Amino acid sequence: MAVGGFRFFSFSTAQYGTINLTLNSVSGTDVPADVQMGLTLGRPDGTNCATLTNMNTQAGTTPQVSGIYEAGVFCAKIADVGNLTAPAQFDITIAHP
Amino acid sequence: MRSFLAVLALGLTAVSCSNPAAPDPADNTVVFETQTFRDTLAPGEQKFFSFSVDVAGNTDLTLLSLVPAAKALPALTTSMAMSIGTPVGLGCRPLNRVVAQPGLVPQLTVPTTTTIYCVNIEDIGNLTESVDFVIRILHP
Repeated sequence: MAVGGFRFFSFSTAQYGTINLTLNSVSGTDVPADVQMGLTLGRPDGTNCATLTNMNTQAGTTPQVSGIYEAGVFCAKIADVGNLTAPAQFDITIAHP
Repeated sequence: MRSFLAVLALGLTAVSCSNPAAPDPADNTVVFETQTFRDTLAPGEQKFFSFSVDVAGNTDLTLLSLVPAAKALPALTTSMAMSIGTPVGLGCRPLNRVVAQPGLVPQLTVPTTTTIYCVNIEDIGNLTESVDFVIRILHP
């Protein structure tokens, strides 16, 4: 992901339940492993992912963003919130019913 | 009679203003929404745009225009692939697809249900330069 950029990934859930997003890692040259990133659970809207719930977080092993929703189409988004000084790679786990 | 109609009209206005949120059970009108997807596409590229359908019904997709990037003219007649689909992963998984030139008549009309769809536009090898495109999405 580029400095100041964002990426999102769309997915569908088959039934009501909890959606968990875990930012597992952020890495790259000149990218601190504990850098704070914006992590969002949302709905695809236009050319972006409209926020349902989000938080600024560093990578970890437990879900940083969660929500309980009916079946539908969702997206997970990661964004630089002003902390990146170089492009970064990231890994996010999406757990959903 | 004229004054009676005037009074009746005033009465109806007063009623409608006193409870503006009350739905009319006899009103089955489907309100269509128009959204516009406009962006720039480079040779070999594809882009997508997501939208929500609130009521089941037909959705019309119209590739309205295609012009060289950052120029108003000339209008191009290049054929592009346009599809409606579901947002999946980093893109838009097509459900229905058409290869069409820009025009004012919808090139793709499909029945849609209440969920989130996406429209995707793709160069199929015809572009030799970047283009600005406009797609009109008319959906219930």
